[in-house]
Amino acid sequence: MIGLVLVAALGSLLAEGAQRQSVFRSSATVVSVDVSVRAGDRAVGGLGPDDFIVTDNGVPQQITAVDLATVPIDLTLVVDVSGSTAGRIAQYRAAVVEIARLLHSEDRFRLIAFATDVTEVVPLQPAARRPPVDRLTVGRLTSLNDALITALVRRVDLDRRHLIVAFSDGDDSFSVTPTSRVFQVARRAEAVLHLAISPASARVMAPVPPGANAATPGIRYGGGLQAQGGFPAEPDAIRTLELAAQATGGQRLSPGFSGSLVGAFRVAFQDFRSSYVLQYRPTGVPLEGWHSIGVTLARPHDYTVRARNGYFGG
Amino acid sequence: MTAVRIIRRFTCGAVAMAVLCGVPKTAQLSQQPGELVIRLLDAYAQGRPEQAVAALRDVGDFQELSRGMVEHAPVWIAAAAAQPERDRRRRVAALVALEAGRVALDSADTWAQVRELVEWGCVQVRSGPPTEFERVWLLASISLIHGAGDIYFLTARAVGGQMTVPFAPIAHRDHARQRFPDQPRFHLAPIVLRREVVLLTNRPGVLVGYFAGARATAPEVEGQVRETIDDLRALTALPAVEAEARLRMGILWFQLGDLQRSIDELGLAASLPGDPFVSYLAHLFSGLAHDHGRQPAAAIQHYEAALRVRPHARSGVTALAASLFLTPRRGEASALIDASFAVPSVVDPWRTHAFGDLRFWPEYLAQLRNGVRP
Repeated sequence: MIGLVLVAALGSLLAEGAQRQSVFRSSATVVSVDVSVRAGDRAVGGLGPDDFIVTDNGVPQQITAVDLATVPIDLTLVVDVSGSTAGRIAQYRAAVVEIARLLHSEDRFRLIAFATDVTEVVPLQPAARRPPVDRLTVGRLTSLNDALITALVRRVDLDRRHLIVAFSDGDDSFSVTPTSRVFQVARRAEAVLHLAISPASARVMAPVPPGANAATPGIRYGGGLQAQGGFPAEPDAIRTLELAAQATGGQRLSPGFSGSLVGAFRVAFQDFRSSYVLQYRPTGVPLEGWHSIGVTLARPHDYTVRARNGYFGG
Repeated sequence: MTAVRIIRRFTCGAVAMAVLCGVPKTAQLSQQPGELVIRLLDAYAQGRPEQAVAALRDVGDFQELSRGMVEHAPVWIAAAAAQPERDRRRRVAALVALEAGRVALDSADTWAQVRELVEWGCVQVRSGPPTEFERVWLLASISLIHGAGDIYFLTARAVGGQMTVPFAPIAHRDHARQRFPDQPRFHLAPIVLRREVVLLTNRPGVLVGYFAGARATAPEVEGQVRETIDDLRALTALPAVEAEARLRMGILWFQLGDLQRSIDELGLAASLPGDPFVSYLAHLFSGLAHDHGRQPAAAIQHYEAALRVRPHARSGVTALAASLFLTPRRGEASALIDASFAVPSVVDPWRTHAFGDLRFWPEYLAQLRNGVRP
C-alpha cells in the first residue's frame, strides 16, 4: 500500500512590518493554531473569535484573529513504495496526479517517496504543474520514520500552511530514527500531520522486482531473519505515531480506512481546508519552554475540536 | 531475420546470444546452451567483459547456464594451444561464473540458481598453487555471498532458528581459509552473516529495548550475541580488520544496552585510519548511542563527524536534522535536508552495511578483470 504523508503546517501570519515574526521565535511572537471543528463528518462553519476559548499553559488568551483557511497550502505527500507496493505502483501514480489536481493554483506540492531510502521525487512546486509521477518506483524496505522526519522538519513560509498526510502499510524496517524521535519532532513542527496506517502486516520482504536496484540486494538467507519473516517491530510504534499526529493537530485516519489513496487524502484535506486559524499573542506566560495549548468552544456543543497541543517557545 | 518481441525468461538466453552477436534482439527457439557459454567466454577472453555481462543480464535460466558452463567451459579451456593461455582461460571461466553471480544477485530465485556455478568457479581457481588472482577471486566471491546473505554457502550449516536449508550447504569459507589462512577478511566473513549481526544492524536503537524484553523469554539470544562479541574481539588483533571488528562490536554492545562499552568500541573504530565506510558508521552509531544515553550535544557532534566522512549520506542527514530540530539550531534542519536532495544520490553506508563485503565488489572486479586481460 502506498504511504502518503501529508503534512499540514500551520504558518503564522506577519502582523505588520517587514520583520519576520515566526511562531515561537520572536519577542513579538504571534501564535497561530489550526483548529478543526467538526460535527461528525461535517465541518462547522460560521464561528468567530468569541466562539473560542484558548489557553496557553492554562492562562486564557485574547484571540486577535480568526481566519477560515484562506492561507495557501503547501502539501507534502510522502508515499510508501516499499516492496509490498509492487503491483500497485501504477495506481499510486494516478492517485498522486489526482490529488495534486485538488489543490488550488496558489497552493504548492511536494512528493517524497520512501522504501529502503527516502527520495524527494518532486521538490516543492506550484500545484498547477503536473507531478512527474513516472519517477515513483518500487523499492524494498520501509523507512517510514526517516520519511516523516524529512517532511516534518521543513521550514514553512509564514504566509502559508503546511499539510502532511502519511499513508503506509507496514512497520518501519530500516529507518535510522526511532519512532520516539518522530514524536519529538512532530511536537515542534510547523505542520499538521495526518496518518493513514493500516495494521502491521507485511513482515516478509517481497521479491525484488525486475530492474530493482542491484546495489542493494536483499538479505535472503542470513541468519534467522528471513525465516522469521522480517525485522522486529518497534514496541508501540503505531501508537507513538498516532500521538505524533495528534500533537500537530492531525490524526490517524485508520482503522476504518478504505484503502483508497485519494479517499484518505480527501478526508484530511477537507478537514484542513475547513479549519479555523486562530491567532493570539501569548500574555501572562513566559515565552521560553513548552507551552500547552488548550482550545475549546465557549458554548456547550457536541462538536469535535482538534488542534495542536502545544509549541516550544523562545 | 524478423525482429519479434523477446520474452525475458527465455531458455539459454536468446537475447544474450543476440547481444553477443551484435545483432538486433530476436527470438530463437532452439539456442544451444553451449553456444552461449562459448560466446560468453570468448567475449570475456577477448577483452569485452561488458558485452559478456550485458548478455548475462538477459539470461533467463541460470541453472541452464550453470549446466552449460560445467559442460562446455572445460572444453573451451583445453582448446588453447599453450599452457599459459589455458591458465588464463581457466581464470576467465572462473570470473564469468562470478559475474553471473553478481547479475543473479538481484533476485533470491536467481541467486539460488547460480550459487553452484559460483562454487564451480571456486574449483577452477583452486587448481594449482595459490595465486593473487585466486585470493582476490575468493574475496570477490565472499562479497557476493554477503550480498545474498547466504550463510549456508559460507559455513555449510544453518545458524539458529528452525529454518530448513533450501539447498546444498557449501563450506566456502573453508576453501578460502585453507588456501589463504592468513587473510583476515576470511575470518571476519562468517561473523558478518550471523543472525545476531544481521538481525540487529538494521534496527539499531529500536532493538535496545528489544533485548530487554527478549532476555526474559529468550536468554540464549543474549548469550549468542556475547559469543559473537568475543569472536569479534579476537579479530581486533588483526590490523586489517580491527576497525570493522570494533565497529561491529560497538553495534552489538549498543543492542545489548551497554552504551558505554558501545561508545568505547565505536570510538576506537572511528580513530583507526583506512576505511571511510567504517568511520562513517562508527560515528553514526556513536551518535545513536549518545542519543539513547540522553547526550544530545555529543550525538550531534558524532552525526556531524559522520557527514564529514560521507557528506549528504541520507542516514546521517536525517539523524542530524532530527536532532538539530530539537535545539535552538532547528532552522538548520530544513536546509540540511534540502541540500542533501540537491546533490546526486550518495551511497549511504547505513543502507549497505548489512551487505557486508559487497561494497568491495567494484574494487575486486577491477583487479580480476585486469588479471585476465588478453
